Amino acid sequence: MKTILTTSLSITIAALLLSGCAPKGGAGMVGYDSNVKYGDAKAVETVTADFGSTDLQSTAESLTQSLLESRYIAKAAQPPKVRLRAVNNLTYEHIDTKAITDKIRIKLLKSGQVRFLADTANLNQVKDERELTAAATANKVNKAMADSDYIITGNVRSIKKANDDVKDVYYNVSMELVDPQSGEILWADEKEIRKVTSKSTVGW
Amino acid sequence: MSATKNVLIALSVSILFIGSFSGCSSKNINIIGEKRIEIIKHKAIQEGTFLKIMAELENTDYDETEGFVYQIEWIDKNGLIIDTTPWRAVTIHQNQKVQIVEMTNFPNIVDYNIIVSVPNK
Repeated sequence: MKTILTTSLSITIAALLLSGCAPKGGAGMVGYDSNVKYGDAKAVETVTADFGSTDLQSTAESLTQSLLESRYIAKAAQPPKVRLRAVNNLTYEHIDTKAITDKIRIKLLKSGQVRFLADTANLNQVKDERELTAAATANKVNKAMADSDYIITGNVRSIKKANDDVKDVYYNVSMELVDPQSGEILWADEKEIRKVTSKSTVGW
Repeated sequence: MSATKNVLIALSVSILFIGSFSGCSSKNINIIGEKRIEIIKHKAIQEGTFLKIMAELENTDYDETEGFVYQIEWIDKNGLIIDTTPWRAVTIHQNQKVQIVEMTNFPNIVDYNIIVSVPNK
């Protein structure tokens, strides 16, 4: 009786392991023959004329390059402490401007030329965390968190024009590096993007 | 005998010199698809701790405007590709040249590859 029970249990477990868990398309792949495919994350995307992934990537790339070349970053004796402030979206469409600044921050941090302080949006969380462990020196800690050498701000603007045949969108992303003590603008640059949608021909 | 030896040495040095320069035209360049775009020159400049590259691309066709994309691969001293730029779309009108400039944001880059992808017509 015990042998029959053990055998049937083993067969059930083996069947479960072999049938239910085997992924379709081979090891490490699920839905191999589905319509979903992975593409190149850095490919040029021209699905619509709205602000897209290519615009985000090229904006972050060129503004980072420009900022790294500015003498306040390139010639600094030690990497300055920078805080990213909001980049205002002055266009009529929804653009996640935080995505632009986050991407710039990642690139600048990888360069090792800049140190970043927590965003004002996250500052309260950081403060709460620090106060848990450093209640005695809270004032000193707060000062260190507030002491940024520079802040980065910016604007995204767009101009849209269209007639029956052509739709033209112009984006302008401008950013500036400001000394918060003096208010002096130390660096500013912009990235311009023009996208044209033609109804008669399909763009490539 | 000594004169012949000197001539031979000079000749071999010249061949090596010319050889090393002629090889540069295709090094660092990879054109995918139809070769309707030419990279006439490219060079790297050290901008502080970062590598900056400049390339000049030409559309030699008198009739057709060419649209294509390019990407730069940034390579470290071990030959590893550390980063790539996003693909960038460029249009060059008939018989015109375009200069592209790119800079890496990684401090340890020593080499680069320019990849140009030209769509089939």
